[in-house]
Amino acid sequence: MRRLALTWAAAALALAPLAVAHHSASMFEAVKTVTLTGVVKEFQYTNPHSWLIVDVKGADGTITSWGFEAEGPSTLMRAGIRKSDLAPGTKLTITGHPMRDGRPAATWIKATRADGRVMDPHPPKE
Amino acid sequence: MSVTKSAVRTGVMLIAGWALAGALALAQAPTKEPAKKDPNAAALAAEKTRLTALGLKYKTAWGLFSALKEQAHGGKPITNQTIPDWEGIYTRTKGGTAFDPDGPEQGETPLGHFTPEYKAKLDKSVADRKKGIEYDPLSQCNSPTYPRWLDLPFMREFIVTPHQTTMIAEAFNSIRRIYTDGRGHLPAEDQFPTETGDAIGFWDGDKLVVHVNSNMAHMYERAQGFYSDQVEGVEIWHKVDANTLVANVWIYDPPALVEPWYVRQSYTRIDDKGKTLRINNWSCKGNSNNDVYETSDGGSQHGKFTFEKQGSAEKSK
Repeated sequence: MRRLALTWAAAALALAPLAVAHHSASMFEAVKTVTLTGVVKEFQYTNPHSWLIVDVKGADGTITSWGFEAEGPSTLMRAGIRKSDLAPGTKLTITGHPMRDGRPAATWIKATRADGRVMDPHPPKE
Repeated sequence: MSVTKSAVRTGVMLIAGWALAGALALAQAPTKEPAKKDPNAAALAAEKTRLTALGLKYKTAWGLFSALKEQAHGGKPITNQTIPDWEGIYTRTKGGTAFDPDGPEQGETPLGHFTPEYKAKLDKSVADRKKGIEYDPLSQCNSPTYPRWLDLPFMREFIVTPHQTTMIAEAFNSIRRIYTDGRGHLPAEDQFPTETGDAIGFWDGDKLVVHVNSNMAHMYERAQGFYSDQVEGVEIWHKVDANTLVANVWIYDPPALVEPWYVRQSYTRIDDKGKTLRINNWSCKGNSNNDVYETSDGGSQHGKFTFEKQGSAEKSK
């Protein structure tokens, strides 16, 4: 699996809030992040949470689909992230807080497309 | 995408550098330029002291509401010509999901003064949260109820008409109706718990004064304290500038609070010049990846994801 880094990132945590408002974030690791590179499989632009599904190829060639959770469409729109920005096939590197139980899911902190555009799903302050 | 050892090394170095830079930034914090002070901070603090004291003068929410109404000589109905301009989409100005925007961040003990029974419940929830044990009934898209409605994140709309003001929160499709047509509450013997309370009010100039009762027991937010079904609120809503709607709020709840909890809620109009924003309905049924259930120890867990491989169900519910 192409897991570039799984690390404790307490120093960066203040800049990376867990993006889960309609449920507790307790199922995610608050002080760890995972960074992966892969290809968008699907962008589920839904309420109350959106999910970005990313296919990640491992060292043995196995593909694992990871899900990155963000807030719903209105929050993503305010953050400047439209559904078409992450169409299937888009290459990116994405960072999130992973699940405690080891399943391939995380809260979405930041994504960077292959063209260099950075996508932070948290809208700026008004 | 292929994997290379150099890419792994680069990634690890980048993350390590990122963490190191963050740590250095924290270490150097005292030398950084101090945060800009709110020029209105002193005035807001004085106003908070005054309004907190005002709440303490009355034993009940109805007592405070009645005094405000008497002070306003009963209020004056607005007309189609005098409706204040509250149009637009708003979101909470500050506070995250903490009930009191002036209090500590969610996860630390809030400022409300709770009775011993409710303080014990609050303390347990705060301690459990620090241990990673936390569950929110809203995970099932249940009603946020009142007064939690006031601290919901995401977008809101306020629709003012002469006889009714309708307040819509995007989250949980939660709608409040404040009747300003002169009606009172239902007689005590006919009242029943409702999801966003029974709200009546009057206009004092361009300020909307509200009394809310007939509520349900719930929580202010996760690890922010709990309220009983006897909770009542008094609110004064006022557009203080072109983009800011403020609600001065007093919460009375004798089983849970030893004194009224005054909070200043503020909502900022979102710049939607591109007209791209939409308030869409919420549904917990629309995407099964959003299924969350309560674990046996009182924590939260996601259900089976649609993107998980077959055979990994033993890890899920």
